[in-house]
Amino acid sequence: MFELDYKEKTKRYSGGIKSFLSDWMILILFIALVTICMLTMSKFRDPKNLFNIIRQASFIAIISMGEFFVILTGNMDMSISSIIGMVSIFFAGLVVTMGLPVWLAVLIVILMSIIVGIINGVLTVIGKMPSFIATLVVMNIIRGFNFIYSGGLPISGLPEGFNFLGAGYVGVVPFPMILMFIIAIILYVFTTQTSLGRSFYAVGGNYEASKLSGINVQFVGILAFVICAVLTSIGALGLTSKTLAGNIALGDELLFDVMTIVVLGGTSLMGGRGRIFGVVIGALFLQVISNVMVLMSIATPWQWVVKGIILVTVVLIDSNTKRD
Amino acid sequence: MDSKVLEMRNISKSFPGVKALDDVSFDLKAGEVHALVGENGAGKSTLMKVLAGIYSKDSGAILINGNEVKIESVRDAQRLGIVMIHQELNLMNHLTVAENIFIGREYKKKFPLFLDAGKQIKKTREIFSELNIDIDPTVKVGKLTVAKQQMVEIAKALSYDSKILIMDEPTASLTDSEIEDLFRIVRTLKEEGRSIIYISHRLEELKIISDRITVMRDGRYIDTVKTEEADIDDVIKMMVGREIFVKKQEPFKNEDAPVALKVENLSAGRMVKNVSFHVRKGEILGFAGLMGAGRTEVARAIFAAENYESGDIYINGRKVKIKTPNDAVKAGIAYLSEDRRRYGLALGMNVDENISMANMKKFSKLLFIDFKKSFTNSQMQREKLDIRTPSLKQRTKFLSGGNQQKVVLAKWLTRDSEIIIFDEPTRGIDVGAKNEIYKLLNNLAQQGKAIIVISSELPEIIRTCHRVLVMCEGRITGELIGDEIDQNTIMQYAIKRDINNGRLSS
Repeated sequence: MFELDYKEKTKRYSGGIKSFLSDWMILILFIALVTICMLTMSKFRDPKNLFNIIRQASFIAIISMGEFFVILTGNMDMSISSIIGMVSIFFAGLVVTMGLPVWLAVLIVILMSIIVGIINGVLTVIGKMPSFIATLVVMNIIRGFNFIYSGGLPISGLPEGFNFLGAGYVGVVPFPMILMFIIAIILYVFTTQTSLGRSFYAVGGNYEASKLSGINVQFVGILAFVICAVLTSIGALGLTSKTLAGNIALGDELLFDVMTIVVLGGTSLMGGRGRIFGVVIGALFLQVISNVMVLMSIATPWQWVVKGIILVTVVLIDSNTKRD
Repeated sequence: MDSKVLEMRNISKSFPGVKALDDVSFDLKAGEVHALVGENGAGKSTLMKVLAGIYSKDSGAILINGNEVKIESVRDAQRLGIVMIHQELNLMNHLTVAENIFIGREYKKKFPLFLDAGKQIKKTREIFSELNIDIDPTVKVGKLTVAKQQMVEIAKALSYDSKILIMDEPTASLTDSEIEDLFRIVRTLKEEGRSIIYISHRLEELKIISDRITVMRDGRYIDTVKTEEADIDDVIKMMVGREIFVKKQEPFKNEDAPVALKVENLSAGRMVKNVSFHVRKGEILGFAGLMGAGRTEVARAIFAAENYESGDIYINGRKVKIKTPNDAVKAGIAYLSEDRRRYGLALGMNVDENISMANMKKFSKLLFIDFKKSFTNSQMQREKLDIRTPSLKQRTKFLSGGNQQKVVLAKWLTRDSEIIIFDEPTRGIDVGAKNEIYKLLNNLAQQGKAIIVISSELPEIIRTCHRVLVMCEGRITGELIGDEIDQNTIMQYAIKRDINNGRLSS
């Protein structure tokens, strides 16, 4: 028995280090990256530039936090790019063309995204379709509607005041940053302090065991898609407010970034593991890299190559270390 | 006729923590059917997998026709004419019979290298007519019965021009008439001078089909006997081994305790046939039998993890409908699967989270988790069950098997389960921790829980159970109480044979 105790203690030690590293690796890398950039690039350490990074990262971070829930339950939502386009174009259409007040238009587009989330969830969880396929199909259908509604043209002319959401400041602090942290804190409390929040980890960690334990696995699975769609629509409104125009192509290149951010933040693609603040750091990390590449005048296609290499690296690490 | 086509000399093989084969020797003559028998885990399959190139041996030598050979892969074995037909058939259901037989080495036309389907079908027909089998080579394998699929596997093996065929439990899922067909084919193969190694639990069959029987136990070679001179009781004794002294469970004192769970005429699929039993409060009921006897399937049917076709379930005398695992949980049944990692634990989550997983409602205030309450309970369970973990925050994947098992148990005890089914409770658990689990079983029984233990380890059954049901091929074949429980008697019931006949019936 004595021996058994000893064995367990050594196990905890190595396990502790390992899980400490895999949990906080991204934070360590992030600090290292920022430190190096601060020391070597004068343009980078300009406070204006730093705030700019956070501002740009904010809405992508919010969308990534949505995707986080879906990936946490072991699924994947590919439809976010066209949800972004949908929210952007319909919001602009409702406000500019139909003259609805902003608050009502916001309500309507969020409601629309909830419906999309439910469809994604039902197809995946109850219809037992692979989430990759189900959401890919939904993505294309929504994209179709976006085109049908707008004819592919942007709708500009949103009221100036709406610009505050994406470009406003509270004192010296950009408003998007405040919004991102408020949402992150709420979701942090939700995932760590509530029983429903914990169910996402249980379902993603072991679907069968959760079911046998009496957790409503279907509800949790669908809810993940709904949370994802709602957070995506909040992010989409923020992105729209920057240009004051509805644009169906607004999210076309974001899916890749969002996936990178979620995995970069330490979320396991196999489900069951991840932290909200990991996602936030992941978003900042990717934005720093983009920013540095812009400062170094690296052409956009090369930026794609670099981001691609980052995603491959992170997923390789994920698939080879987090298996049991 | 007496030339040895195969000799395996002093084969040893270890897996981490287990010596699976310890200095085992085995030989095979031309045109012989040599049966290999032994309990679960005796090492039969491991030995055959070494021969078929699936495992590599640690030491020892393999000789084919007197020459030492190297077998490092399945391809090596195939080249030497050795093919294993696994219990779970490895066929692709969506491909035709001929395509399956020639998969990976299809006949091609000289130009432009397209598949020569015609030749494949012709070759398949040739093999079938040689074996006197009537199967259409162009039909999809998925449409065939299991028996016919097996024949396709045999034909596939022959298409490699195999001299040595290894059949692992070939009759496990066949009906009587299908078995006759199989035996006819085996005899044809024999006449052609091919040799067959035949693994089976059904001693009665061996009398009909085999020439010699080799018994293995605990990874060791025990003895080889000529089938015609073999006595079934001797074979069983050799399989079970010397009577190791096992401390028996004390007799069940509370014979009048209320019946906690009663199952009547439960049938589910092929594996559970008309099973009836009951278990009283405070009683530990064992389910013994060989692998594939249907014990786990009974548990899963009760728990509604698998659909059952018919049968009634009574809990505390009241008939209940259990349609989902959730119903079973609510009725107070807990099922601790042999596959803890798959069905019991979320390995990435910590001890406390796992314990409270089935009890979220109990530990929530409004929507928020009452960490204190959950922790207090987990701490109490940790002390009660002696869960050894550096902290309740430890992820369960870092715990030893025994402690993982205790965490799953803690989850169900928190849920106030009154009927607890343990499926292979000590699988993958080291010896010291096993004793603790046994003690725990006794404690739970003394607290009035009704316990069902499914185990393939006979000493475990003898040590823990007040009463034992033995299953064979989906049916309960025997019930043993108190002094009747011993390894030999359990084995007698576990093996399909004519019980009235002391010798192997033919």
